[in-house]
Amino acid sequence: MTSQRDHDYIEYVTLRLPALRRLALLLCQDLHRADDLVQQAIIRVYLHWPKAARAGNIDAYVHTIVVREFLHERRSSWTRRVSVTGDLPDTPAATPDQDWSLDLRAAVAALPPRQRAVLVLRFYCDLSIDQTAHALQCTPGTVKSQTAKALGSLRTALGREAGRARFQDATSLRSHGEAASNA
Amino acid sequence: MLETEIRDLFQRQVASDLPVARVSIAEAHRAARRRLRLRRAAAAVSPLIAAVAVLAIAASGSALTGAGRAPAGPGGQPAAPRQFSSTRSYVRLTWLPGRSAVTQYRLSSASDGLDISSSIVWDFGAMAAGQCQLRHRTLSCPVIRGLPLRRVVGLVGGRPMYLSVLGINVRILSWEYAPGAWAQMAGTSGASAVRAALRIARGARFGPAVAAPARFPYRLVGVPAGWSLSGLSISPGYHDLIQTATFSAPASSRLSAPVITAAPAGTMASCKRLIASPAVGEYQVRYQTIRGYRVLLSFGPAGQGSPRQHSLCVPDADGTLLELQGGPNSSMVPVFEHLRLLGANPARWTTRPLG
Repeated sequence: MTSQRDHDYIEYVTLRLPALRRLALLLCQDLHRADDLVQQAIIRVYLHWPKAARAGNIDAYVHTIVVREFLHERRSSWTRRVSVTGDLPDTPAATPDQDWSLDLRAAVAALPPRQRAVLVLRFYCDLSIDQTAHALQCTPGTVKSQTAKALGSLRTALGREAGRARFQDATSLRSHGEAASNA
Repeated sequence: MLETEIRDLFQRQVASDLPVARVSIAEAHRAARRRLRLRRAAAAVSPLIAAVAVLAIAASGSALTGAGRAPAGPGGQPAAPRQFSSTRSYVRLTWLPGRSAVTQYRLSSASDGLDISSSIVWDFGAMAAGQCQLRHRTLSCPVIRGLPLRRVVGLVGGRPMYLSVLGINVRILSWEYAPGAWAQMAGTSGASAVRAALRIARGARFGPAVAAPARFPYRLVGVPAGWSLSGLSISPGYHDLIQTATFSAPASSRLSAPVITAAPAGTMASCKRLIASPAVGEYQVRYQTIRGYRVLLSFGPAGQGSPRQHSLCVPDADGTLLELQGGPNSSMVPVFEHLRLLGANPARWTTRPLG
């Protein structure tokens, strides 16, 4: 027996898997967890496939599933096991980058899950406030406040890092100066 | 502007090629079909059979409620083991809010999970010793890592219970129920529910004998050495007792270790609903009589680079519906041949499903 549902599902997920992994990577800020998230999310996609297929925008519907699964997984999944095949791939070394970018990346990774999800939906998926609110099952006002909190946290963290960098530079210069004068 | 830099950061993070995916579409498809089957099977059992099952469970003292007096509370808590039993819950809740119930137990060697369904929905989890690490007031457990423990909301067994808030309204309560062993509760309800959660936690009893061992309506006999039960989930709250046991076997085993789902007996229509969502590609179904029982065999899917998955469903194996799910390219018929059926009376069930 064959099913059009199963055929369509397999075809869609196969084609969209890279995009789903990229979205999950931004949410989780960790590739291994991102793959676990995608593994779990595409199960739910199948369970909700009839509804997804009827949606005007399947991608948006599936992205919503990924985001909600991300937030739900962070809330509670004590013994939920995700069977993910294959060996753990070697993670390539981070390419050289500016200090600022690394600080921003670390600051984003340190955000609470919901704030991070808001930033990903608004600044990567380019969703509107209303669309973001629908994905997160909250009000537009909440999206605005979460965005503001996230940006505020980032500015605070980056300001703090910038201050620390300046301090380190200053002490480094002072120690070099002392070494030179003692030479 | 910061927003522009965030956009640039996200684009850079996803611009490079990602390593090979560890995601298996075939495995997800199989798991999803399985969930659909369980849902349909739960809805398909007749009310009369369900009522008999509930009464039988109650008469036998239930699969997981403890018999006899509960041991002393956490103040006199013995050391928790580094591995739990997969057939016996290490935790029992002696108090729940009104109109609440435990809807699912999930047992494994690393942790026990209980889903509590009520007006406040909480997950309760107890981890075996050594599963969580506390460092610099930050708790890392297998599921939630890096949880800051800042606020104490009460004492449980003389030990502080910490409240952590994630996101807008997600509350996680953590406490050390035994030296080196942690328990957590999570829910999305309001602050007032924390008081109820505190009472649930104080009523939790931990120990190797706080709950009766699970009972199985079958026993796998004559299987090769090295087989074990790696996980068990039981859902007693849907008018049926649906029990799913995951077995593990050494790689050298000639038999494929199954996942066995047991429920009160149904009809062939129950088994048909379990496979009502066949997968893409070649998928075969046939009826067969094995050991005098009428069974439904299914094979699939194949193609898409994935091996065949086998399943065998017996709608009425002496009063019990059994579904055996197998690994790749492994028929479940030989496994069914090793299954000793124990009937529908829980008093005759076994606490040792292997051997």
